[in-house]
Amino acid sequence: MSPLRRLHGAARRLFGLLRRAEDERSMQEEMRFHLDQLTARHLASGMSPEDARRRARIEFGGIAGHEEAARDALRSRLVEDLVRDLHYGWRSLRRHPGFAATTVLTIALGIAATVTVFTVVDSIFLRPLPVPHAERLVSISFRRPSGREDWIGSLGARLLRTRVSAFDAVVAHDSREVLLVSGHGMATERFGAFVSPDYFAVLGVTPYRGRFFLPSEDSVPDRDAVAVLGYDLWRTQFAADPGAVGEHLQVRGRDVTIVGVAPPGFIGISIGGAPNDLWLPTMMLGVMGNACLGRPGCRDAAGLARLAAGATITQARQQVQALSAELGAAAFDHDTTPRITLAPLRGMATDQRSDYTALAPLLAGIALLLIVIACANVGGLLITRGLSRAPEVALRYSLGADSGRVIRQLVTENLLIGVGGGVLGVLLSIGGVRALMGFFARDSEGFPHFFYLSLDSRVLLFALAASLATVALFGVLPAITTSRAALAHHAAQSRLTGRRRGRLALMGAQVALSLTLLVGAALMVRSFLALMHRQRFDVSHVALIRLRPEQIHYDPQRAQRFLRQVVSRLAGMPDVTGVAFGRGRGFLWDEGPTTLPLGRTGSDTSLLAYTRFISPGFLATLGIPLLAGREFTEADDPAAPRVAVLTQSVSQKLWPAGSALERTVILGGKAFRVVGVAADFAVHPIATSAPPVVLVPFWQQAFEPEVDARLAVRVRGDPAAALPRLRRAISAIDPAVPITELMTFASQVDSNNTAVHLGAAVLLAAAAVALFLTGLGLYGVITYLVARRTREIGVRIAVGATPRRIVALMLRQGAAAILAGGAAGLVCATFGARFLAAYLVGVEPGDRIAFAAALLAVGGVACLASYVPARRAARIDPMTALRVE
Amino acid sequence: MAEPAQRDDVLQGTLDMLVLKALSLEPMHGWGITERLQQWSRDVFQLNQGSLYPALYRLEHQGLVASQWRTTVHNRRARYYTLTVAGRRRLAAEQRSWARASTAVNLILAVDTP
Repeated sequence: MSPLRRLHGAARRLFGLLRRAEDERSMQEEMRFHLDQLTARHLASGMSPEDARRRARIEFGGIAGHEEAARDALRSRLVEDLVRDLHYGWRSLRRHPGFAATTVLTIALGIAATVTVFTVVDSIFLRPLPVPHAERLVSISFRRPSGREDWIGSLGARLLRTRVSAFDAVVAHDSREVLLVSGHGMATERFGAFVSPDYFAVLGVTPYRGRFFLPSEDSVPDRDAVAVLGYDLWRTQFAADPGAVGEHLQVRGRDVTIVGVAPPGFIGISIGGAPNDLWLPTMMLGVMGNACLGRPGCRDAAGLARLAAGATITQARQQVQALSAELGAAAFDHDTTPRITLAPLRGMATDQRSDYTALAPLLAGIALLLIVIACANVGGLLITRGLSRAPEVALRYSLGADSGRVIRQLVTENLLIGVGGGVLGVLLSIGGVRALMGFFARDSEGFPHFFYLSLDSRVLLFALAASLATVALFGVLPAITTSRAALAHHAAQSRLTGRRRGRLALMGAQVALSLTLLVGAALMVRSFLALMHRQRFDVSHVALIRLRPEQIHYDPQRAQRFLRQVVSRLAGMPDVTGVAFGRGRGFLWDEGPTTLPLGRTGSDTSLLAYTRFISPGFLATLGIPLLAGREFTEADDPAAPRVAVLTQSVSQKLWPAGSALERTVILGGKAFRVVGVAADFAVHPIATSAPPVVLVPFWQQAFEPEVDARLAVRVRGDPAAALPRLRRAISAIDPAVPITELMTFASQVDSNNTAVHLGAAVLLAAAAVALFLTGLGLYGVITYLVARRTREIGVRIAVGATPRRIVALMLRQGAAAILAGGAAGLVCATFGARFLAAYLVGVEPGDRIAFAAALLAVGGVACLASYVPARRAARIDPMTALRVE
Repeated sequence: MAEPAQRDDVLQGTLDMLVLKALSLEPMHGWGITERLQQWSRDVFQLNQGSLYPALYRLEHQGLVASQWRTTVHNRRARYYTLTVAGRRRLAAEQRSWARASTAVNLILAVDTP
């Protein structure tokens, strides 16, 4: 049989099923041949055809029994073969630990990148809630022509509950309210939800203690002040006391009775938002200042429905659509027929996704590049390995092994690598997911956000599929080429040249992709550095605390007295080196509601400035450089003339030539004397230039009667460790005043810059992996090329070539591919950088330094990866080399 | 074709050895093996012909024989079995141990008892 036909047959027999069918056919044909021969002999001895056939069957014996016995023999052979192949594969991999480790690691990195991105994207966009019948939950909302979403309100929910038969429950909920919870020895801010009574039943939770809400408790606005505690709040604040049910708490100053405790692990449904700690009926939304409850036009809550068993979302859509006029009347209080959308409840609420939508394609793109690089590497590694063992395989053929058997053995070995890489990849991805989501764990006010991130069966299935695809691509093909190479061994060395070119092309592609990733990473790192550099404050030893006495309805005098007490008490603490504060809202980044026209005269309103209300010593405490003049003192009180400190950019805009000091600015129609100029300190992450900022004294503002202050406390040592002490010191003055957003300055800065920070971190990690893989791949190729030319190099050395010339000769082999890859990479990077433009701060997408740094890194790695094996070639001993083969 | 005086089943456990022996001369298909065994045993052994195939697959798996599809002189496709080096070695070993055992059995049966 020709080698080609053998190969063809072998390929078909690759898998057990195909093979079994082949065995079966072959067995039957063989037995039929035997019976025919017997019959023919009896015919020849003069029997009638019928007798001959009968006689043959008798002599052959029960054919079904023989077939069964034969099948048994064949089956046990398959299992034994597999065990033997696994054993052999394991031994063969152990003989080449470098190859095995490299390949497994490469596959693992590729799988880890995919699984990480898949898990993150899955939990943000796709994953249903971990509750019973999650697949039947749909969210219902209005969509304005502008694309904005609007809640349907509890009236809308009530309408749907009674009129839509495709739903068996409709829940109204407002799941993200910050509630000041006080009483029972605490005053903290917690995320709470206002929900209709069927909320708990639809989500399949049962009370851990007490009960949930009765339908009557959600029927009259502001009447039934009842609350359900979250398990964690109950455990930490009530020491898990069963007597907590029946106790009272204050929610934003309103007295409520605890009627029940939610089960452990239940934290509401606001994926990507903060976990809920407390639930109240929707009719208690009055504590949030909501005055329209129960009246048309009050879009006070979001709608969530459960499809009735057997109903489809399409039926529900039709039924809801038919009610759109009535819904509009209930929700908008005037003649509006809004567009209504029903969507399966998956991932984050759609109106919260905007922060993440830009992220998904970026992550997916990076993962894709990494996978392509990993695949190129694995393919190259396996092909090289396959070629290098061609002699071994050829030997096995000559000893009588059939090609199917040989290929199966090679596939089994590659399967081991693939599965090993898959398992390691999944393990790596657990760390990857954790690292990635760490960026989203807290918002800039210190509230935790939650995502369901556990690796579920779908993710594992995905990883398995990805591993199997890798094996199919890079296990089966190289196995067949190896087999073919073995058959062609001795005869067709020249044919391998084509494959060498293929490998070099793969290398060029890898160089190009790594360069693209590296340019991206360099741009993001430059952005991040620019962001850090432009943020002209020293975050290292500062703790932040937000005090909100206005939330418990302190009058302005009492609140201000309290704030002064806190400042002097904290300043007296031994490890505190500075205390200052600014108004809570619009502290440093928040654009806040207060942009005021600013100019040299009342009619000059060309600038709109953000106004920051700050205490004496603010600039010194935060380490913001004061460029001229002074900062505020205690003397700048309401009785003194109004003063202001300008930031440098504002000062230069208003007085391009001279100094702004002692001049007068008109801010919001009032005159302020400029007493100082500070550096531009804060940068909005995405904005291209520093926004104009004017600083005015907190104590001088008559229009700031309430106190909502963010304290900045500079301490010696770790600010995180100082937080509990600071909290105790403040509580000692007045335990009733809520202390919130207790965090380090550094973590607030980080969460504010999440987009840039995350982009830089992910791209840097990806680029490092890509660079590593490319280096590995190049090293592998050059090593292989050197090995193939060992004899030639030996001859060259023998006839007097210097080591330097040998090194140059070897380097030249890869140089063309590397240079071509580099050029292609520059083109790719130029286009790719445009996608990053939205994340770049202070750098152009075509930034020369970023490109130069990336080129340098790729070039360095390429040189090193080629030089090491080339250098080894120069050390070849000609005598040994000439004896090869 | 003359009826033989008496026909026996192949002795338990000896089928493998007989198949290896049958193949020791030249590669052969299953039918050929039964023919040869009957002929060599002067038609004493009545091989249960179908039971040959499970035995052949077992031997192939043990690496004692190898198989290949070929065309017969009458232009039919048939699977030919070849004795491998390992098979030849095994046959020699089995023949030696068979000779020892049958000598011993003959000695015992030759003892005269009343």
